[in-house]
Amino acid sequence: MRYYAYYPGCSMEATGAPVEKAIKAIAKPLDIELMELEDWTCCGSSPFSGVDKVKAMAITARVLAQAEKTGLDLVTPCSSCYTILHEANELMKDDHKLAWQVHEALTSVGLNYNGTVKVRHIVEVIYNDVGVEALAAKVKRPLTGLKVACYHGCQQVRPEYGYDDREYPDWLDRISAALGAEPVNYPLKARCCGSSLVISETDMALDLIHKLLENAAGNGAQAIVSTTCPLCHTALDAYQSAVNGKYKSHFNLPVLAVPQIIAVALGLDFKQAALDGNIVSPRKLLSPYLNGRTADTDAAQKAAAG
Amino acid sequence: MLEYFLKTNPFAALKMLPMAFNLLTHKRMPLLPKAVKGRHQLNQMFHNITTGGSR
Repeated sequence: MRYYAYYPGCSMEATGAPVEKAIKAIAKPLDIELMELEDWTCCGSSPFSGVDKVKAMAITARVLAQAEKTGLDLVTPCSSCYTILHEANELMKDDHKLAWQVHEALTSVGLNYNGTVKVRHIVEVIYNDVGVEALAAKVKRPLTGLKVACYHGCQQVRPEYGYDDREYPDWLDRISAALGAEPVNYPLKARCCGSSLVISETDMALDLIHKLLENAAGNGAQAIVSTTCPLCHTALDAYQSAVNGKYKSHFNLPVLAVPQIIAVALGLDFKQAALDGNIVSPRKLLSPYLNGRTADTDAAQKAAAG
Repeated sequence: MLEYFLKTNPFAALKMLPMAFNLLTHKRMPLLPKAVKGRHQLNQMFHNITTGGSR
């Protein structure tokens, strides 16, 4: 069993609830123990640092200070939290004036941060610590024949703290392939989904989402496998009907967060994989896999086919 | 979000209703937000930064 400090982030308690539920469901089968930080607060994300950098870094450093007490790596599934936690970690080392102000603020509430926490994304943990081969060995229901477009989003690989190739990331593709699915190539896999603009610049955000859906569907995908970022998942899933309304399109692409598709392949049922929380229902698409298709039945079919 | 729409264009919020309904029925939009954790510590930290702390 591997142990990690876990920081879910605010969105996981609302729009990202199905992603969070799926993460918790696959943790045990993957021999991962996610120990949620007590009394965690919002990380400040990018908007707050645009308003008041010191205060934003202080609340992020508070999360890091809590994680440091555990002595474990800090894992987060939200790409926005991942970026800001990394940024705070780097600024605490490089910007001495800011580090001093943050240190004083932490001291005033009895906390201290020495800069030792390693911030990690849950997808990176699955890829590196669990490993693609070990994941493939745990598959009970291979997703054979399922064509997926893997969507990495922007903050998981950019601006500078990403763990995958910035221009053409492929870790989600490798994870999906380990589950038996067939990742399709499409150019926009690391393009921004526009979620941070969806309230203030709705038309621009819908245009970005439309381009992503069109690109994925146009390259033969039956579903999108998104990273665990709750913002990306919500933009592609919940706003699909708004895109259809604006562009007179007919997209009906289920958006499966990577823990959800892992859960299906590991043999968990529809509810355990939190697929009932998806707005574009994947029930029809996944029914062949959810209804009794297993590694054993696939092997028997292959043997029968000669 | 409500504050943003009230300050800018309240009618634009109406366009969000179908999506809000979808999120609500899929248990992805709690009607009441959870209380901010660690509020006391955050207030104290912000006060320290605003007043310049021990400097």
